[in-house]
Amino acid sequence: MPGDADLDEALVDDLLIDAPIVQRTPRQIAWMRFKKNKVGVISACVASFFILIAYLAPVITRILGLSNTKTYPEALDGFAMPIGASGGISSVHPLGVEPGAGRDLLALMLYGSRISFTVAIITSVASIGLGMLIGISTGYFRGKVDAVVGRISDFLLSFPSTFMILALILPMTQRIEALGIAKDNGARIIVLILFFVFFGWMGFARLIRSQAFSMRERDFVMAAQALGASSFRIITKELLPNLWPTAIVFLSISLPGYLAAESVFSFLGVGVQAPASTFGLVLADAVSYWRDDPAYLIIPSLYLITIVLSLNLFGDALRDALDPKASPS
Amino acid sequence: MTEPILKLVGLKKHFESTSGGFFNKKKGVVKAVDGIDLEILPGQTVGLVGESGCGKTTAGRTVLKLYEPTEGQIIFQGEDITHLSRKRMKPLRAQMQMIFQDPFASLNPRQTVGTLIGATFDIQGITPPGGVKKEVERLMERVGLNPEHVNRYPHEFSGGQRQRIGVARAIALKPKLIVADEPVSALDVSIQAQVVNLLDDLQEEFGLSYLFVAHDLSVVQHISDRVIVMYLGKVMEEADKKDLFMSPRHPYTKALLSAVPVPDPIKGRKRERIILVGDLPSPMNPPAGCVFNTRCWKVQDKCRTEIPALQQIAPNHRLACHFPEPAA
Repeated sequence: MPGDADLDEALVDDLLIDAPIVQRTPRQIAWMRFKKNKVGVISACVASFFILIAYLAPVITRILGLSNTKTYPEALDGFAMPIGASGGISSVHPLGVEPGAGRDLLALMLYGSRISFTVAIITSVASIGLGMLIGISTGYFRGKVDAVVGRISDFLLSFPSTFMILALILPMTQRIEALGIAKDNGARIIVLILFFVFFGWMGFARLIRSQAFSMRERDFVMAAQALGASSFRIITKELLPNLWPTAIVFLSISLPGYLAAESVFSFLGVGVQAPASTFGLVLADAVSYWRDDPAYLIIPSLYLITIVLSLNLFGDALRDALDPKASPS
Repeated sequence: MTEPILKLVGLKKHFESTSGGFFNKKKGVVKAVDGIDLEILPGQTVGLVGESGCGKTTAGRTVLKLYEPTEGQIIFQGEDITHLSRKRMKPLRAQMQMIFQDPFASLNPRQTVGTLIGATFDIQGITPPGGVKKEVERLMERVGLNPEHVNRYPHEFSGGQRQRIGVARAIALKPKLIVADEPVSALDVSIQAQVVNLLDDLQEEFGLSYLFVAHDLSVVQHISDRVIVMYLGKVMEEADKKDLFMSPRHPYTKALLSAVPVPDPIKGRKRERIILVGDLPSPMNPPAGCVFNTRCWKVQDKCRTEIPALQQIAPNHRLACHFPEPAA
């Protein structure tokens, strides 16, 4: 049955019968829709700006003459508090300095967000890749495997994953260090990513499973079967291109989620440890200073909120642009 | 007598309805197709008609082994293909193709027309003379599409044009048999005629045989040589087109024909209209005896207990009814 979007298109075609017909691919149509969404464009710019400066952290700090490891005792007073209003914001330290040790806050944020982004991007891509693989195969082949995998994902979804991560992160880290794969924060990041992926694929796998499930009954899949196409070909050539938009949207929505999750675990003291800095570590430290130096709590919080919010809004705009059935905004 | 291109012997397709989940408890059996015999000769069009839910689409799909048949035999060009494996079926699939009802669902929205039609050669591993690109453009021209639109996506075409893309895909490998599953029922009446005429022309050009599944009797009357009337998975009546339309013997066929609109209003008012009461019974729990007994106006006790066999009543005319209408 023709969808509403098709009807609209047909109507527009009839009305503009004399206008030159411009040829557009589905991607171009999505891009046109996305461009119209001002919030989406702005948040995309903001998000890419933060990602860019995170990965250019060494360059930016060098240009500004700052370092994330150097302390600046000259910016602190006798009580190890930043001199000046708003946490010691000055032309030298644009976001102020850290009370206590006296490191530059901008440098901490840049390097910290680099770790957070790395964890979030690897986790999102890995869990979506795993979810795609599991979802598409259970949705297409169904049967016993689908039933078994479905119950495993039910189990994992109902599992108190946070407690499991809290309990196991230390022994797991030691194990990885003993195996000589990575050390200290490197090992902790690997464990964190493994846990996030292990507990993170189910939602997306279910979404993809249900989509593959309904799509395999569509006539175009049957047309491919009538031509003698193999299951591999049907999955890769017929189903996958129709599932990419879902994956892209899910990626942009899960990215800020993992960014925040990484911060939470650092905040609780089980993630990345000092001297490295992440949002979670800085915020945990800032809690003890909030009465004397509120700027130290507010600035990193705003920094994190801006990133998460812009990524979320970008994800929403992307979903609207890629899904023709969603209400136009 | 020429050898039929397709022969079905007591073809059955039952769907087991299960509770789903790990234990998959059996709940019941839907007898979508419950014993069909038919023969299609080369170059012939056989119309398969019946109301929604009578199993005509399932029959069409089972013929192409898109569903695994439950019972019976499918003989294609003299070869029994009923239980051929997927691998052994593959070369045969070039000989038998399908045109779908819904031109919006049968084309992958993310592939261009060129990819959609070209995929047939890709899947079958055939390189047409002159290359895939040239052949695709030739096919597009043949079905009445502008070959310059080869890089367009399905959403850029109208319903009729999309159905032409579907036709081009079906004839790309020069098949012998095409199962057309209500190929025009989703289209405007004006477009229907164009597509039906295209199918007619292609049949002449390539010597195609069609199994034409439809519920629109006027379309079937136009295109078919023989017509089979199905009800609840069973064949009610089978005859040459002229016989069936001029002197229907089964009460169900008569009721169906009386529902066809007549262009002349004066004639139309005079005509006797048979209105069937009630709905199609559930194929999961079909009535005992003749499956049509719940809605038949001629029903007798015998119909409720005894299943009427499909019998030859005249040359090329078969019927399954205890109390047939008199021949006209």
